[in-house]
Amino acid sequence: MSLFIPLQSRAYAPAARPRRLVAGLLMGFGALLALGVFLVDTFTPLQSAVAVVYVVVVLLVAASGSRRAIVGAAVGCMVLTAVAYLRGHGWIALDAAMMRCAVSLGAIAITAVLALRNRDRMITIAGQASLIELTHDSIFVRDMDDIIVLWNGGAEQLYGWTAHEALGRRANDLLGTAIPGDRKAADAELSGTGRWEGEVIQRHRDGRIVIVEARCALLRDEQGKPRVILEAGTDVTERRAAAAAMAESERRYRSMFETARFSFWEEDYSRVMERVAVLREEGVTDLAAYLEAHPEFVTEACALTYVTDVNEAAVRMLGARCRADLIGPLSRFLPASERTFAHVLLTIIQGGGIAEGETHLVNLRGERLTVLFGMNMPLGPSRYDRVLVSVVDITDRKRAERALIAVQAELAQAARVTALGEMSASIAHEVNQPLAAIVTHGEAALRWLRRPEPDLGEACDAIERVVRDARRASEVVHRVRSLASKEPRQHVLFDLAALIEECAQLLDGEIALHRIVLHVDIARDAPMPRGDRVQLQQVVVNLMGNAIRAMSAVCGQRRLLVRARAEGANGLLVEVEDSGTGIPEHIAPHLFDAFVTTRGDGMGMGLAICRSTIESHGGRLWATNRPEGGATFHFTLPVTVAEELRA
Amino acid sequence: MTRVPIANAARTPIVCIVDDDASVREALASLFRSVGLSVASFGSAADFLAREHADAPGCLVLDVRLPGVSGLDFQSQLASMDNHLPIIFMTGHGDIPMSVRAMKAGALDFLAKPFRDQDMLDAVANAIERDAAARRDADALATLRQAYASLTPREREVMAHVTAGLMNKQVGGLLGLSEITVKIHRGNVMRKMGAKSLAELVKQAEALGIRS
Repeated sequence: MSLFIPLQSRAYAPAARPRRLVAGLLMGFGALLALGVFLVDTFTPLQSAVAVVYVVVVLLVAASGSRRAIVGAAVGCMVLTAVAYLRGHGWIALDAAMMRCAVSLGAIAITAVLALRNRDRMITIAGQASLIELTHDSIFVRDMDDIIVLWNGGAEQLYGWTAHEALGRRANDLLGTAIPGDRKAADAELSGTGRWEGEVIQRHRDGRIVIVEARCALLRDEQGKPRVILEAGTDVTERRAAAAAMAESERRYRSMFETARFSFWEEDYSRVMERVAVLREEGVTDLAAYLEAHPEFVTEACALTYVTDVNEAAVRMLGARCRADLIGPLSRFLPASERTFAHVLLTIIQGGGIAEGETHLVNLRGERLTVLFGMNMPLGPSRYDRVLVSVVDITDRKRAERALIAVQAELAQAARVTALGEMSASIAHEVNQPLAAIVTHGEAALRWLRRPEPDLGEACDAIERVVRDARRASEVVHRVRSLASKEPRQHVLFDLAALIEECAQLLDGEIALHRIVLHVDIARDAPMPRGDRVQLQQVVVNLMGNAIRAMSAVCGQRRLLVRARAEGANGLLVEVEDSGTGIPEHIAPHLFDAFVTTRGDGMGMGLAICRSTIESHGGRLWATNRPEGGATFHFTLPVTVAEELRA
Repeated sequence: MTRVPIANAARTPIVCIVDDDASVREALASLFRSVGLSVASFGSAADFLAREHADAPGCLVLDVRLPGVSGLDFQSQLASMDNHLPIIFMTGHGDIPMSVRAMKAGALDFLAKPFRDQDMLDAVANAIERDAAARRDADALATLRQAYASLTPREREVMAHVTAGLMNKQVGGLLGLSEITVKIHRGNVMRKMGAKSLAELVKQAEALGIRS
């Protein structure tokens, strides 16, 4: 609007000045005519009603004058008529001249009244016309022969034709109006109800197509005969193009969404973001810490996140019958134990970007899936309601990977068993040879001595060899020991939490397989341990693995707890607690002996090695059964303050 | 103290020891010598095969673990060479499948190191006894073969029929000879074969594998 008003006033301001000039000229001409009539009426002996010509003067003034001017002109003319009559005919006499004077006065008065009424109507019409000019919509009027009789500035803007060019031409020639759909129906509606609204396609002066939202009105005269059609239009070409582009873009998006082999989800985060906004108002600034400290908020947020749409691939992946089965809270598919959701939430809160990773979903059949997901986070609040998430099911790949790892582990175990067998056979042989020789020499010596004539020389030889071979056996034993302790220890300070996290990752497959809930609880006062990180990690993996296997047969909740806290002045106590079957009574006294196992496939070396590792670090490893079921393995590690300082 | 019976005084029994460990070899040698046995020691199977061996009763004391070829493989190698010297196995880490295999292949004993001296000496005595017996049998058979070789073709025919249980008359009928001629041939056979009775001759025929 603001754009059009100055344009229009600029266009019409010059037109106002000549109009005033014309009005002045008409007034002057009227005055001259009035003077001429008066002179003729007064000074010529014309016996006719010359004064009737005053009517022309009134009309001239009325053509441009104000209401006051018309009244003034009429009164003036009537006075002049009366003056001329009195001067020519004396005071009142009822004759023909008197009659002519009365007729003239009557004509002037009637003309003035009519002119005044006409003027009022003109003012109304002019007001309406200026309204028409004011609107930025195009308005034009065509008669029943399709000839344009009115063409406003909006029409000039819309179609490119000036009023001057358009008036008098056939509208259809100018605009080539086409109505998408039934033209006859539109015509029928217009002539029936007098109105029609719809979209038409028309041509601009420069040939381009404009799409116009048109409103047509059929105007009738008093007899009800159709007279003109008024057509108002708004240019919607750009709006339509934008909408079409939008629709095309949406169509392509839908097509990709529907036909993709990946599973696509649309999720609505707006309710979650409202909750986050509330948190912010409550003064929570560090949301990362808040999420860490309030896992129940993450659970709630997960339930507030809605799946609004999914594609066919997602329906298949989650084992649903149709997509309606999947619409609803995200928490139905995302197990509460998943920590990835908190990460996703943080990404959105911190201003969007890409979130991707690996997580677990539970499908409608209750199967646990391992998936890769990727989501492009919305940058602003307007798109929180429609976040696109792509998901790829890698369960089979993971399963294969796990199987591979299991096979590798078995292979490694078999190799270890074989190697151990070979090594022990080799050691046994190495030690046994001198032992056999020693025994035989000894016995031979006895036999030499017990002969009827003892052979001291042979006996001495044999005993010397006994001594020599005993030394040899001792050397073998010494060599084996030095072989076993060849690797130098690498003692370093390390982060226990990171070590436990790595162990959990190593056992991820088994934890998932047996549906075990893992809790890690490291007390704030727990000192940093020092030692051979690889060896201690093997100990923790071993203890956690044992705990998992101990729980694989029990029903109910399977809970694995790894706890750490300070022990005494400078020690660390780590406990691995399970809710499994506990330690059988007959095993307990030999639990840490080598070659004791409750598993058919085990070597029974695990706990023996664990204990020797812990003891070589100066700690202690022991086990207890929990009264409520399950077992706890405890180990301590001394943490020497002095050593820490040096490090 | 057990005295090892010496089979033929002329031929002193010899115990062969094959073990890669010199101490074990020395110890065994000392033990065997202390009971009056002759001893030959070898560090490997190849050493054993490379040496000429006296024709005397004896046995082989063999370690299962040998450099190059295993004791069990050496055992089958000897068998394929028609060497039937009795074998006593020793092992530092004997297990059941291995001893079963060795015994099936004809080993006389399987001793785990360290063994008791008496067990070893008993095993050796047993082995030597067997070898001596085997050698005696082999000697007797060789004498018999020699005697049989000295028979004429006609005498062999007569021996075959007579040991099959035919009367002189029947033999004569079969060979187209008079009963007297058969009797003379038979007498020659008995003399040449050194048989004192028909029963002995039948045994000899069985040993020689003669079938009529």
